Amino acid sequence: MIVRSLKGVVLAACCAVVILPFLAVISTSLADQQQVTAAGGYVLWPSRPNLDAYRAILAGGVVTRALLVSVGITVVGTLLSLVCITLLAYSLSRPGSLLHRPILLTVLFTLLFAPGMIPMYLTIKQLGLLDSYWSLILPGLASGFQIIIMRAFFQEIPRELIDAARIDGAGELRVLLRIVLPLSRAVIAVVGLFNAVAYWNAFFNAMLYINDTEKWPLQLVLRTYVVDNSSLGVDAADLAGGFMPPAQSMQMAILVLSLVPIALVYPFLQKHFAKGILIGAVKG
Amino acid sequence: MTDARFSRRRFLTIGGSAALLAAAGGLTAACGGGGSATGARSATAKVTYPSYIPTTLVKPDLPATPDGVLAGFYRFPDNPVTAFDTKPGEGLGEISVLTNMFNPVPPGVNSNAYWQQLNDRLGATLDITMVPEADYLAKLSTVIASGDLPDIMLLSARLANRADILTRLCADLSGLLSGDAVKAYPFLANIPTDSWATTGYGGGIYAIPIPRAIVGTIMFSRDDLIEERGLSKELSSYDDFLALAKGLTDASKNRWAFGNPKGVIAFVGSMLDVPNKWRVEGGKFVSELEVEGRKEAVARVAEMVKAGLFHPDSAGGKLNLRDLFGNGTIALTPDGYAAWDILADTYRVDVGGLVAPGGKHRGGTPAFAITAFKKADEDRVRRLLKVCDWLAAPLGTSEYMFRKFGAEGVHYTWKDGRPEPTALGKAEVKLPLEYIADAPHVLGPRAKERVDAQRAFQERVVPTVVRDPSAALYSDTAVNKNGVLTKIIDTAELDIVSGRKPISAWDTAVAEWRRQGGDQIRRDYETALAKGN
Amino acid sequence: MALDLRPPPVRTAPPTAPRARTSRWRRDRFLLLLSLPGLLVIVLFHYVPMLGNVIAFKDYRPYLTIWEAPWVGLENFRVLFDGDPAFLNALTNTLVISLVQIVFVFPVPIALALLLNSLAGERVKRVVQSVLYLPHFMSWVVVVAIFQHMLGNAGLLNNFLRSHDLATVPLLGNPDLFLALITSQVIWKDAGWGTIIFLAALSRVDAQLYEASAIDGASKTRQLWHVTLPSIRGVIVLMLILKLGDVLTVGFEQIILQQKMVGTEVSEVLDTYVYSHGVVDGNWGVAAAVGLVKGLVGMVLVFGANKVAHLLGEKGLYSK
Repeated sequence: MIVRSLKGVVLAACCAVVILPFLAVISTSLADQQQVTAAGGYVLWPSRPNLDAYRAILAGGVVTRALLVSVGITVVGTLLSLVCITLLAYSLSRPGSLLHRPILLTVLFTLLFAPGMIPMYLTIKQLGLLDSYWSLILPGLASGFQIIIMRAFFQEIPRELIDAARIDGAGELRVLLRIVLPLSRAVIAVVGLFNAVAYWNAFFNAMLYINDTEKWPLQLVLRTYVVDNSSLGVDAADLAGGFMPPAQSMQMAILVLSLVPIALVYPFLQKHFAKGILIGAVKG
Repeated sequence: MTDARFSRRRFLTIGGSAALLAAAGGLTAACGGGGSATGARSATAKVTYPSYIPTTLVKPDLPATPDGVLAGFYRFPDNPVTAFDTKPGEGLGEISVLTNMFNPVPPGVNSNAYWQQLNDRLGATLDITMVPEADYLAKLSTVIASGDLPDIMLLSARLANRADILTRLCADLSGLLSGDAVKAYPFLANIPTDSWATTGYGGGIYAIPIPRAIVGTIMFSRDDLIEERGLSKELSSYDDFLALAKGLTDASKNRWAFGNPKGVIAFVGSMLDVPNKWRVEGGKFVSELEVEGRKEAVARVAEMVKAGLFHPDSAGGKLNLRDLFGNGTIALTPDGYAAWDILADTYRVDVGGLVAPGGKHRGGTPAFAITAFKKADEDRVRRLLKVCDWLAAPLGTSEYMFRKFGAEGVHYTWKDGRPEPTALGKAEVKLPLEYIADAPHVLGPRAKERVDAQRAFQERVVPTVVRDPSAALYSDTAVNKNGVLTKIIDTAELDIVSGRKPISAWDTAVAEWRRQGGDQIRRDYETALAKGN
Repeated sequence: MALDLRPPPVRTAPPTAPRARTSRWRRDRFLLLLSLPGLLVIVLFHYVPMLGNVIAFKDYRPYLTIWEAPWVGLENFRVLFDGDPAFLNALTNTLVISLVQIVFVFPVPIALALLLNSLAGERVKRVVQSVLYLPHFMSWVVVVAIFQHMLGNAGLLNNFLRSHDLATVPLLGNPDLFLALITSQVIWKDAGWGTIIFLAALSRVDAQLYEASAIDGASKTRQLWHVTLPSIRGVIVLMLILKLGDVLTVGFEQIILQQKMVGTEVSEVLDTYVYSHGVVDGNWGVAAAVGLVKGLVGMVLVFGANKVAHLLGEKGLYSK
């Protein structure tokens, strides 16, 4: 009983610590300029809540359009990357297979050595992908980290299950589709989420590769609403002549807008994490 | 990946071009410095900057002065003049542009009537690639590295290897702009000489400036708070300044005088006769870091921090200073001159400028950045300049009104003598055109009271402006080592000001600054200056 | 090198190499086909641009092509080996921060996942999970700003204390607390997110094992040690090994945003040092050189750790 209430207290405290700042972010996005100015940045509760900031951002259709672009890139990218990663992880899940070691090392090295910004740009340009949505999708399709994680999960699948299927005459594809994948829903959900988040959050690649602002994803468009205060130091002010970063409430509204769609994904994936049912189900 | 960049090789093989010869000249200049392939070259060497011919098309209420006081307008001029009778970009077809932006991104050209009209007025298709300012340097570097330059590009002051990039990859504009040749572009001629300083390299002009006023940074004061507390902002000594700061501080009410140590160091420095970056004494360069006054300014600010006159989170550099100034948490804040209107309009408080006792004012950087052009045949470059000329049309012309506000009745309407953007105007008129080419800033048009206050401040400090003698000189080290050198000094300053280190740490830092590049910059400048004479 | 490149044991031992290869080719060609799309992406978008890392040995300037830039040998590596005290300080800080994070940050998501997993109510569990993973989506700029607003010397807490004539607590801007500060920030931001992978691993624990141990009369604690933990041990070890490969990389953005408030003595790390000594001035050669060295160090650590894992009977990164 004590243990249970202790657990409750710990988790409640964790949630409170997380929620409080979010409350500040949401409240600030709904507050008016006077209250934000008086509070010096963030308000904990809007005294006169309004949606002006959201209205200002969504006016003109640029943000809505970028939202669609982002959703498209995220959906297509996540699906394709799941295919690439699953196939590669599966082919690497069998130590002793042909070229197993070299391919594994090829994947592993991508974790340790990264290409520079300029060579990457030149590659994208050389492949004719500048200003194409594919420049935002293709490079991120096969994350080494995720391949290795998924491979580890695949390897934990009881050998006997696969061998039994083999004896029944099942080929690789059948083993993958009928045994490995159904037993790996949790890790597929994880890798899918990792990719979705990565595609959703990316802006730097779009800044480099996409000149046409109509093809910009949401995070890059929203970035133009946010000005880092540190770049407004005295020297910069000297140079920039003067402009006003959009009000704090607008910046917080942007944060909310960029966060809500992706935060909504997780609850839908949670059912795949239900414990202990999967293996039993297949065995039975 | 090499074949994509054959065009680059071509640049390198134009051995006979003036640019390359000039670059070779730079090589000899760098001998003393070793290491670097290109050292200092004097921007002044043989450069004849464009003549300054203020436009007579528009009559401001208060005309600009030759030493750099901005013109002032009490109201928008009636019946703006149409300065161009032809479309400046006729025959250019598509013009690719790369520049930065501070505004939220506007709708693309297909869904932006303003952009379409702009193209129509220019007689060409302006294909603008715009990048948030924070990311601009990364984008610019990759685009330059790819060898696929746009027709027009903004080069920020922090771009490494600026001289080589300009002289090797960009069009030499000398023949088109030097001296009275600039008359062909009356609104480029309207840009004061100060601003052209960073456009000359190896004897040629390679860019046009985005002009800024020499007044630079102002120490803004909350005059209402000063009055409320019965204090005076007329300072005749450092002690007066200290008394003012103390009078404005009341920590128990969360009120402090300052929020930005670096800016206050500069302000105290101007009381102590600290040079603006460098001082030339008989051909020898002395850095501001090496004079006693600068060290004292740091020590004084450390004392003020200790005395509790600074916002307690000042050192972190993450404060939203404008909001804190607006809500009265801090009462004095150094900011760019154009922030005067922003602060006054956003927060509806009394804003004024503080004049440092001792009669010196540290000058600003007279250009935000420079705009360069891809090498092309002279006729094309001439037309591109004409487009920039159009974009630099000043207040009082119809070109300016369209550039800033769009089409009357569509993007704006008149209200109390001011253009009021419509919803469409707010959405569409956000192209970063002022970062391609711009007219010199003016004061107003605003209520007479505001413009007069700003003008009075400028008339008082501009005659005493201390200019940066290195502004017209170029040193590779100064640009390419800027990050390291700035960090050495900033770190030491903050350590001392926050009380983490004693003032003696300053000397160590300055010695390190000299070792890691400061002395090299000095040599570069001295060589450049000697060659220029 | 500690690299384990011995040919792995194969289930059907190969009698002679060529014949074995042919039969393996027959057996595994479909597997190879499956790996092709992913491999193509990796080669095209990782290895091809990685050739550009030769600028680590060149004086690269953006107006020259990578191939035209003159060779400068190990000049760009000098920043790492010239004994600059500031660099050594940055290296020390990096290692200390990494170590502290491995000890104090790494276990948190595991503990949190176990805690969530032990909850009886599925609904509560899901809600709590969905809340805890949210901070991951906040950028560091916002996290740092919010920390300053709440805990800063003129933040909500201290302003409250000051206005009630109480002593203020200087949590931010105190060099002695910097390590604790950034560590707690990382936990705040990413602990919830980090649970996801362990929750996935926990979901695979066979319910029958719990039932069996329950029948044996094992307590909840015993179940944790004898059923739950062993079944996710493989994933924990794997994550730890991968983490070791990153030992020279500690939150660049988080730290550079807060560097001014405590000074560089406690806050300069390898990445911030390299940033100001290369990247910010467009010195790409130096950036590439440091990247290579970091990769090499990471490689040694990863393979070393993997070896250790094998010795301890774990599968590690790649099983035998």
